[in-house]
Amino acid sequence: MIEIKNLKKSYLVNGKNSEALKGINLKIEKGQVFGIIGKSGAGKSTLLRCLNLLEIPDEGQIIVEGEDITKFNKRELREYRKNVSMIFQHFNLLSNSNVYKNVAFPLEIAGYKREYIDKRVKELLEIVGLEDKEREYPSNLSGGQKQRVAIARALANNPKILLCDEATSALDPLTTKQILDLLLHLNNKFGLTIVLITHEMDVVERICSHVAVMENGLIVEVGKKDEVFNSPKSKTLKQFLRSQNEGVIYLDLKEKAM
Amino acid sequence: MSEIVELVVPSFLDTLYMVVFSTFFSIILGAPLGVFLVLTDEEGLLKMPKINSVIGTIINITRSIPFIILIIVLFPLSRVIVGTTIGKEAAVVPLSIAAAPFVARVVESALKEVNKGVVEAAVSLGASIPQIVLKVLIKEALPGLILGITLTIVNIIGYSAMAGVIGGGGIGDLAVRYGYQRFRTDILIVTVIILVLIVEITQRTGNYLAKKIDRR
Ligand SMILES: Nc1ncnc2c1ncn2[C@@H]1O[C@H](COP(=O)(O)OP(=O)(O)OP(=O)(O)O)[C@@H](O)[C@H]1O
Ligand SMILES: [Mg+2]
Repeated sequence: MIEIKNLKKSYLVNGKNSEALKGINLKIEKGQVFGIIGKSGAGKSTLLRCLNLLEIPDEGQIIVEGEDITKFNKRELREYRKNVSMIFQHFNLLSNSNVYKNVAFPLEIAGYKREYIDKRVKELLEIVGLEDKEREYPSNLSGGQKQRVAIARALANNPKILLCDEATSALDPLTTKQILDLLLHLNNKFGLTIVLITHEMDVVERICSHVAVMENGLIVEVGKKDEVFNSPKSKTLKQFLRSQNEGVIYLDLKEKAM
Repeated sequence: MSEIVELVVPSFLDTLYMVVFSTFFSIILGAPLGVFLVLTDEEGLLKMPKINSVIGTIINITRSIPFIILIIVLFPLSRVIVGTTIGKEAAVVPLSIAAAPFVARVVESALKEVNKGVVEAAVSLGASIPQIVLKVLIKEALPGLILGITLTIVNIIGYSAMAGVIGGGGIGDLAVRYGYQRFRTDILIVTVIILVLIVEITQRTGNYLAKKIDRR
């Protein structure tokens, strides 16, 4: 459903061109939970942000359901963005609006009637398990609850694709697990295609069906998660898998100590 | 005593008139400029650095002219707009125009405080620029905007006293005509107390409102 062809993007840094994406080719099919991993600065966020054109690529195509989104005009782009939602590491909720208003926001800007919005917001809050927090403001919520609000908001317009930029990186392990379970549930129940970037291997391990590894603005490995993880080829992935094992040992020790 | 009341009450009402209308019109003139400055900024949604710096420069120039001179220059405009250069109605014209650049900066700095991530989230949800301005920028910045407007009102109170002297009337005019020129110290003191009180009440109300609606 998403096909990226020869995608390039560079930034002007101190008068010099620095290439963040050096020609990305990638296919993501409907219903996949697609993980993108890589070290800091590899270009993960840039790639993800190209998928809803928060970053405008310099070259290449992004074909979503048969249409090249890089050719969209402003209005088409706004419509497209209602079908592709994003959640963020720092949640990015409206701090002066309560939970209800945050979730209603995408529906209001889409111009729905009050009755529909009311019904839909209640539905969404039920999906994410926050029915009782309608009137709370974000500052009174825990990180996990904030991300749930962000997810509810992202789902409001029934998107087909959900983009997650380090969506669990600011959360503790237990909350991370709960949020990942929720994402997996959405993937199973609504066939939501999820593209997520992370530097946490556990996240990939837990929910991804497919994975791509990025190094220096290029994709160096891609495929089914199990296949890729069972025979890692890139330096990055080998390192990640090694440090993950160390992490497991570390967790073991911690458990024994308790 | 009754003489003081007779003198002070109408002057007070004139000051109130100047302050209320000048604040209103300076917001009408200045706020859109402030929004425009934020949108056209280097990091703004409508990135237009050239126009941004032209408007920024015009605002800076206007703001660096001493207010008393600005009023003198602008008073003739009152004849065109309200048909006279004397009285409280006439004073509203230069006051509004002089305060507008200040409002623009105040609005600009309040809106720039809004978390970029929140704006980005709105963009990613398909919001248009007017929707982002109204439902994200202004709403998120409301506490800051209220404090900024409070500051504007306090400034306009001060400005209105000056405008009064050169033909606007009001408390400032009274202080000069009676308190200074006729050596009526009692009236001078009363006018000062009234000005201090208006400023104090305005500031406290602004602080209270800003705090009350701030949910961050
Ligand atoms: N707005 C920008 N201006 C200039 N350079 C940028 C910008 N955004 C990203 N870059 C550069 O592009 C490269 C890729 O950045 P990107 O944020 O995509 O990396 P990432 O893989 O998401 O890293 P991280 O794991 O730290 O989030 C980096 O070298 C970064 O410095
Ligand atoms: Mg990143």
